[in-house]
Amino acid sequence: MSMEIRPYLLHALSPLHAGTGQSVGIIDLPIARLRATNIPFVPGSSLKGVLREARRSLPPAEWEALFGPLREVSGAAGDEAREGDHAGALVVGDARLVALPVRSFLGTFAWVSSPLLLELARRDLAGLDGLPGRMKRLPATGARVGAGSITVSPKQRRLLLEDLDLDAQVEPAVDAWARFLSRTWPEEEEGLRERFAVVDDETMSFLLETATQVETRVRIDPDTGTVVQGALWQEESLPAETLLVGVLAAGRSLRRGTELSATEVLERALKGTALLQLGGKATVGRGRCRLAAWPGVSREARP
Amino acid sequence: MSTTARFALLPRDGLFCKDGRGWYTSDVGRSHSHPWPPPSTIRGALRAAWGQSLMARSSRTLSPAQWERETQDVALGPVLALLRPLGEDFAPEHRMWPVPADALAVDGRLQRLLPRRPTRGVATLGTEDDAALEALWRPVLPPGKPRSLQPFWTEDALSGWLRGETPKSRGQSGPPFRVDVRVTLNIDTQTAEPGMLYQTPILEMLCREPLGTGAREWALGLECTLPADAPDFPGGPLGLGGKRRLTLAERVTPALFAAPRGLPERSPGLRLILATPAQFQRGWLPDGLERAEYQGDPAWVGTLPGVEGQVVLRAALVNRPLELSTWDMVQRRARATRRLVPAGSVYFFERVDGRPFTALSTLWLAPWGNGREEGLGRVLPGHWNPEEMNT
Repeated sequence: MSMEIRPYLLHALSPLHAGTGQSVGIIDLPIARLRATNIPFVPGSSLKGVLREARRSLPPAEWEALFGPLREVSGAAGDEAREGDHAGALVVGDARLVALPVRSFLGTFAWVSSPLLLELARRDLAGLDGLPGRMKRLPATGARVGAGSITVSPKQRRLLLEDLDLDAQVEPAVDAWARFLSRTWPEEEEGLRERFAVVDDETMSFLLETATQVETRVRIDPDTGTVVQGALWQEESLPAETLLVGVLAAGRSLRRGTELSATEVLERALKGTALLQLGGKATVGRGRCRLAAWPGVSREARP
Repeated sequence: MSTTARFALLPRDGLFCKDGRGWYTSDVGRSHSHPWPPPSTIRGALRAAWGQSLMARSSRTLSPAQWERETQDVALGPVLALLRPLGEDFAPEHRMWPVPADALAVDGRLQRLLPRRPTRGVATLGTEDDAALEALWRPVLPPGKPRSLQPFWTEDALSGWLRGETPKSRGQSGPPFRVDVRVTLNIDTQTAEPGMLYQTPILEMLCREPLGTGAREWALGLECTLPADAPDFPGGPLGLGGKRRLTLAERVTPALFAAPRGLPERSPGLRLILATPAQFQRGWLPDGLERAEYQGDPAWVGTLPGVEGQVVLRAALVNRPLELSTWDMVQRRARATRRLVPAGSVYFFERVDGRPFTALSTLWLAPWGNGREEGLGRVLPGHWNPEEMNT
């Protein structure tokens, strides 16, 4: 086995701004997205930095074995090889969107996913007990919900999302996905199950653009009480309740004198990660997240 | 005892294959990536995975020197670029090939570049001090401004090209890049550390289908030889390219590496297209050829692996060299940069005895030149009629 792998669910408890640091559009501070598919994601480098700080309580040698040694000098001089240099045993993958909370006429909001998002998540979750089967693509614009969904009108069987009006069918696989995702979050199983919906990939593409949270912010001049010239900007976030799936992987410790197996590396990395502060704009309440791995038997090797 | 494994690598989070340009050579904090991972990067990832699996099995930590020694027999065979609709199993029709250098797009359509005998008084190929170089055949360029071609061809397009047919499409664009910006935060001030804001171009492997109907994904198909029997290798994700980005592995069948049906059995001349970059001792000139006289003119004559009899090199359409810089994990320093003949370059041969080439399919993805254990120098055999432009 090359590396052991453990998938995790990242749940945004407040709006999550994992930005790109650059913009060419009308939003000054957009969130990071995959370029070719527009799927929002949280870079693994962002999560690794947060985990590194969250696990400061580890013995220094273990901490360094997990995350790798920190550079002592910034810039080009820091690239020089040092005695005892080693790679960190932990590899943190990007967290990719799996369900986006979208305003719903019924049920307040729905956790909306699509066959493409679920298929990508299936790869990360492969090997876990109870993983639902492949969700077939919807042949036309429409939605699928679980039995007992509170987001569809009982008579007309329609899902009313923002300004989208979608025919909805009951599909057991949707229920199975909601239950599976909520295994990391048992106390909210009912809430997730009754709000989980799967729309076609094209509708999801539209929602990926329109259902994120965009806020306009200003800075006020304390002397005049007006907006400082040029200090008006827009920033985008993934809304609170967004669900993302990512993967942590680990090999044995490569640090001399610190023997840790891949399993031990993962356990140390994940311990105490119930609440994390991810992304930017923390001082205005952004980025409070819950990170949880699936309980039970974890996969040891891919089929 | 060694074993052969075949699988496809699916980079989960995209790929970053940094080229030899450092972070600090031009714009501060900006790196540069290869547009497609060189085979050497893939072999490096396999060796790292093999070393990790050895450590996991033996519960010991390998030193860099042990690691180097115990993984050096991990050899890479053919490497393929693959593009499939999400959810399908890999099949030969998903193979994507580097665009051949003997293709040219002028006035919106593709044309084959056909070498023909040089005539006196034409421009030279070099410094005019190498008679064998000057004697090489060269194509006549059609009038009009050539347009750039897409970097990849589909299986259909390439199979037809090897038979001498011209595809209608100008090819397929490669996976797109996104730019990831990264920063190191100072934990005391929670601000960016000076000089530690940097960006990396990431090759994205997941693309949306045209018209938004689903998605397609790029992957790397490969065949490798391992020094021991390891049926489950890699058995987990690999770290591929810079920053050890996670890459999932999926088993594939030998059929994925087989020659396509319809390759010509016989051909008066031989056209060899490089499917992967090649490393020759004398730069662009294939190994096994020596300067000699043929039909009264200076020429490069010799033998080719897998080809019967002596051959003469008639033409070479070679793209700009690929500068490859790799890292020595034991010495902890960069190895000397190598210049490789890039994939897509095309060589044209005739047999010295004037007989046709036969059994072209045996040359399918055959190795050529140095660096075979790195997957370098794999060739695609094609039909060529030397008289097509010379009668």
